[in-house]
Amino acid sequence: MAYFEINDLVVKHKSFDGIKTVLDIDHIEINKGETFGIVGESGQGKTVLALSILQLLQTPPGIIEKGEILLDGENLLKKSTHQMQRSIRGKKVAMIFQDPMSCLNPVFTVGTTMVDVLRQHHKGMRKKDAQAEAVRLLSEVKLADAESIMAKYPHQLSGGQRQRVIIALALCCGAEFMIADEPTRNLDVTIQASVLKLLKELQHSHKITVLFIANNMSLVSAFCDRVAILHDARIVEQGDIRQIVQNPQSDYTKMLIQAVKSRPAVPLQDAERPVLLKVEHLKKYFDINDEIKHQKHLTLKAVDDVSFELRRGEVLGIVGESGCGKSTLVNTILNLFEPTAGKVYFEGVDVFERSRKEGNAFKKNVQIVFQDPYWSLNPRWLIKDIVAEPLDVYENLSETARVERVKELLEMVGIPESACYQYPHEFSGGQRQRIAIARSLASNPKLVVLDEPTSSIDVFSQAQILQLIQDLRRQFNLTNILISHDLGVVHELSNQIAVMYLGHIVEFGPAEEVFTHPCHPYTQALFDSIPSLDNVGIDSLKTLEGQIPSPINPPSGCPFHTRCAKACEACAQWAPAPIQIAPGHTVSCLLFERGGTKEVVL
Amino acid sequence: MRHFMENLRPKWKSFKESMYLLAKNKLSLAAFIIMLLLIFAAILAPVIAPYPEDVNSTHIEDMLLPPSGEHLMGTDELGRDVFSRVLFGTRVSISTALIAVGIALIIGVPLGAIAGTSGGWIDNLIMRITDIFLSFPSMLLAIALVALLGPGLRNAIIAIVISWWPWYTRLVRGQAISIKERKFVQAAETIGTSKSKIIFKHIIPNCISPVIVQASMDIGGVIMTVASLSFLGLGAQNPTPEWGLMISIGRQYFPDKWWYCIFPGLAIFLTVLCFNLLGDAIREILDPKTRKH
Repeated sequence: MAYFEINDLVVKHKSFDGIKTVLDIDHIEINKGETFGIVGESGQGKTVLALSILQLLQTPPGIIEKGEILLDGENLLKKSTHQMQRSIRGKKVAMIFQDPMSCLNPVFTVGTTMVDVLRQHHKGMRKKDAQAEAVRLLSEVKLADAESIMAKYPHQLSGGQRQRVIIALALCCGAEFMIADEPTRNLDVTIQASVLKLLKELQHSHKITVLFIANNMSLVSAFCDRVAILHDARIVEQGDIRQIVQNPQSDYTKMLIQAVKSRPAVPLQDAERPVLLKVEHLKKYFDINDEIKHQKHLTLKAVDDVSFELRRGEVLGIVGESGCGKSTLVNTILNLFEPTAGKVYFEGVDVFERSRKEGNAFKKNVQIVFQDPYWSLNPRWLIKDIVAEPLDVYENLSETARVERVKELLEMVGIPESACYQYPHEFSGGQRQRIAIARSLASNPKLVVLDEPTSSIDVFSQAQILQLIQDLRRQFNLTNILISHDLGVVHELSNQIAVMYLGHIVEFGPAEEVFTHPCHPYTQALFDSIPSLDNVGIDSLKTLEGQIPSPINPPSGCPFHTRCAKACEACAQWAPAPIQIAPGHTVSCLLFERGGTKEVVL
Repeated sequence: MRHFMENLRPKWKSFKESMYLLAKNKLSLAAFIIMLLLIFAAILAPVIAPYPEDVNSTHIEDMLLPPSGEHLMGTDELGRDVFSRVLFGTRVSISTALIAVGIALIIGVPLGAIAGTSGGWIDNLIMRITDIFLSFPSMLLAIALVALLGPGLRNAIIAIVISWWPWYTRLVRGQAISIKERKFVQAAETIGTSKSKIIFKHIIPNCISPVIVQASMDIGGVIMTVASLSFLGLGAQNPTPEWGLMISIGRQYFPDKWWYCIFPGLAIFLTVLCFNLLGDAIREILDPKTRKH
């Protein structure tokens, strides 16, 4: 008999529109020590499944109609809440949630939380022993300096550290079955790789069975042995991960796999295009007063000496871990922040020194599409008013002409014109992002900034939105700046790539060249940490150890030397200048400055 | 005209949804119906009231009659029909409350939105002024102001507005600060939408929900304050049919001629309770998080 089994489980949800089936699973079985993946887009019932196992599903509105969930032969659905609390949750089944910040109590230190949980589960454990145990567990999840982590509050930790603390908490009571609900969703790729590796190691050393929930096939292919694809509350396919990746049976699986396969952008042919945007030595520093520590006038160097050129029709992809200054750079270029130093020229005109009228012209020509379409559309406005917002500023149209124009714009992005008189909440994430794109095109801009345009929507809609962006770009000869931490997206859209680290551009060049021959050690590390369908298994992921240093107190010399595998003594002393290694391809690294060639590094 | 109708349709749809939610909670529905009845009574008081002329005229021969078929709530010391006067009192109380809360909103909401959106010294200035107003007990401030301006319903309204607007400013400022960080405000900034349009079209509509809830509850509070001021002789003056004033005079004949006090008192109780329940109902409609399953 299998270690964990689900038979004929039906869960329903009662709401305003009636009763809906949210989960209808015939059979799943997981063997001991196995890693089992559940993949599907949001709203397909993944989280409902996880919550049903632990009896944490809210009933009502949820209704578990029938079925059984067997763990080691015991039916979890038959247990009382009290039994679950006492002998199952934590003891046998542990859960790692998506968002580590919201499941750590912000008013307790990590130590307090851990000691509390330990003492609750091991009755009669002395406080001292519990503390020692907590330190041991924290070092087991590879948190450097576990003692000092114990004294910290959740907000003082980085996302990766928090997720490690959550994993340590899950280990506290010796659970042998772990449910990981998209544990790396909000983490950077480099951190994601190291958290996944850690989970895999712990799984082997503690003989843990893992149920891994994800929305992305490539992640599952890197981490799981077997996988089930969840679509519309049902399992459409399950089996060995290799087989499914190589030979998917259902259409849905094929689409999921297609969605994560990268299709590199076609390089631009004609080289002679006018420069549209020129950024020269742009700096943006923030003054910070740390009043608690009595340190005044600290400077946070969010963007430090950035220069680049963008020609008409090009797409510049800016990549880097969170906190590297991507968004600050773009916001400064867009003039949402006052720059500290440097110049930005748009069509040869200095953006920062211009009259009010020119300023409006600049805003008309430069538009932005934000990351989260749930917050970037005013929930109280009708779609037609949202899309027409730029029209109201720059053109004085009659209501009829205005609505006509909005309908045109909506048609371009594939939204039916009946949407005009609806509110944003009536649309899905992908549709909302289309509406946001329609708005960004309303003023006929020349440059559209895409700030993580697909990171908060599902994989399918993602692929469609990317296609749409490409089509529109060709149609209107747009120039784009694309910010993303998803290198697949960047690969698909960009012709130029800028890799940012701690406020600096460490590598800049044509996309094809950077992707095939990444030169800066950071770029290499970044690319190696992405799971892909081509190499199955956790060993294909390389990790980048260590935390990103604070931009308030950046390392001397090369900013990356603290985490760089190829660092030498000189790196801590000399700041590298950008070196051109191929036409249009620059790298800021001492390895190249000392006369090293690309071959040496590779 | 066509566009007007098209614009109206989605609003009608969301109105229907709200009505559905309201009807689901029996208590809210009851409050809503009572409110409709009160407004109905206020508007149609001259038609419904058995003795509409009793607002002003006196009939000494009928003084202080107990409730009967002829006088449902009895008569007062000047022989006037208490029922008719309570009905006309609905008019006075509800209109005063609506005017006072309305003016307080008109002053308070934009100031709060401006303070929250602008920050810096503007924020500081506006908020310190509200702090000054808020540091007086509101009833005391109202009494002092009426004493200064002279008694009367109009001055009572002025006093209430002055002591009430800072609450809305505070409420809206807090909301505005969080709304300002939303991406659609940033989007409007990159689009080039003017500052005033951002405040009035983006910020205010999105922070209005808690204000509506607060305002509907405040209507009850204002009705009580008006009644209290009148009770103290600072609000409505004889012969205005005002509930607080009626209780104040009726007090002299209590408990022998109980109807003179009790019925205006019940009217205050019912109206205030109704608006409080309505506030809760509106909160439930506007904020799905507080909804019970």
